[in-house]
Amino acid sequence: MKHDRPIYFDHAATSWPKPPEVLDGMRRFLEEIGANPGRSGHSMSLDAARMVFETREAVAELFGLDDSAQVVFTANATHAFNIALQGMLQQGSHVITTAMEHNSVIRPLRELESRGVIELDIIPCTNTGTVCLDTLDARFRPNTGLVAVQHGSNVTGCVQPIEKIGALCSRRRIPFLVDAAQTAGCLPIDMKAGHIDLLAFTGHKALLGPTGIGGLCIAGSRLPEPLYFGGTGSASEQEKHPLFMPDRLEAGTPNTVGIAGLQAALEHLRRISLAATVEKEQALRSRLVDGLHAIDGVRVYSGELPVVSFTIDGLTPDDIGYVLDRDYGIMSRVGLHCSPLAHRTLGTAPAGTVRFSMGYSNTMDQVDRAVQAVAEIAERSP
Amino acid sequence: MKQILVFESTHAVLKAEKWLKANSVPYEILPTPRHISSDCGMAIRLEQTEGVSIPDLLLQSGIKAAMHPQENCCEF
Ligand SMILES: Cc1ncc(COP(=O)(O)O)c(C=O)c1O
Repeated sequence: MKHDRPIYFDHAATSWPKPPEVLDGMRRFLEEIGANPGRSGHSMSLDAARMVFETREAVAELFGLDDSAQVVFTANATHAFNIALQGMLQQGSHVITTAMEHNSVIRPLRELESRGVIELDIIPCTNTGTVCLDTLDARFRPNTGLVAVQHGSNVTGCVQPIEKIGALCSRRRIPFLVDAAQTAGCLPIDMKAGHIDLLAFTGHKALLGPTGIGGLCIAGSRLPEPLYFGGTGSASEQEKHPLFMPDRLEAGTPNTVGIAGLQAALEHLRRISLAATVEKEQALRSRLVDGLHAIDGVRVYSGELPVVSFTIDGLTPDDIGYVLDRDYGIMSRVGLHCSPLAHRTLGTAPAGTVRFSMGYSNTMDQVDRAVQAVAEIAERSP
Repeated sequence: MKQILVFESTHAVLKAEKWLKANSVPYEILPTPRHISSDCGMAIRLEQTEGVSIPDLLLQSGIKAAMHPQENCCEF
């Protein structure tokens, strides 16, 4: 069977297709501006710098951050975590994180642990993936230097009680780092209400921007040490890297085309409204979850985001994913989703699950066809 | 007389530009004149108004700027 129109259910890996405005924004930047921002004094360079500035302001507004100088552009969320974790954690710091985290948080932390820099405490979660506040509260130590928690899961879509966790950290004046890779563009996020000190996001998922652009937003005056050093277009006569924001954490020519795409994506999000996106995605999610629950032999792992994992008794996730693609044109993601800890928490390790993750471009009809496909595959199960 | 405002970063220049636009203050952005020491390659030139300190007003909005009279600059 060949499918001229695939059903793209892999938005949690990266969203597709991007809104036409995003492509237009990137093309316009390359055709009409193109110059290096803040490096040369000419008017095209100034226009490029204005575009970067406006995008910083839009990001700050989206996440409720007062000072847009505290928005640092990075390549993706992984890059932002590395800046935050390697730059904030000092010798002997104790770090608390959770058993739902993505490898982009766990691996830099494990690296710092193996270098003997930090003591790492990974707190267990419930078997549906939620952090228990009492468990967290009991783990604080006098040398706790950071708490890192994922806002929304890329495996089950479960959302953590970020404001309550933030309040616990803020009472102890411990910096709170949030992984918003799955939630930025999917849920409202307010750094103040969440007591969030460091927020890492990526542009290419629910924000609908291109790959290669993300960021780290920092509230307050506790700033990471720079992870890398170089040209900034400022303080050029000095051989030492400047320590003011955002230049402190941004060296080298930025990904201007990516930033232009992100700017257009944020405008798109404002135009269609986050509330409308949330409503549409919630409707898709409940239809999918209800449909999957009704199939014999299917186990469903779901939460609040339009990200749903499932398994079929008697079949491996990779076989299911292969048949979904070959026979039904459905793009899913199978296995561990870069989150082996999360799968251990859910009891789905080592094989993992099949994940359907939906976005603005999906329809109810696609959900119904996918549920039908899963039902047919489950029927064939030995 | 014209004044040159210099800033720490490009970000600060553009924040100042946003403030000047919002407050309808005419300005130009130009490369920082060589003899003025500055961290940033871009500067803002504006006409000084009697009794008004733009750097003070910018500072109230959290933007740090240093002001230099233009007398030492060649006028283009
Ligand atoms: C929960 C979560 N955190 C972090 C990341 C890392 O994002 P990126 O690969 O864009 O750095 C992802 C996605 O890959 C994710 O799903």
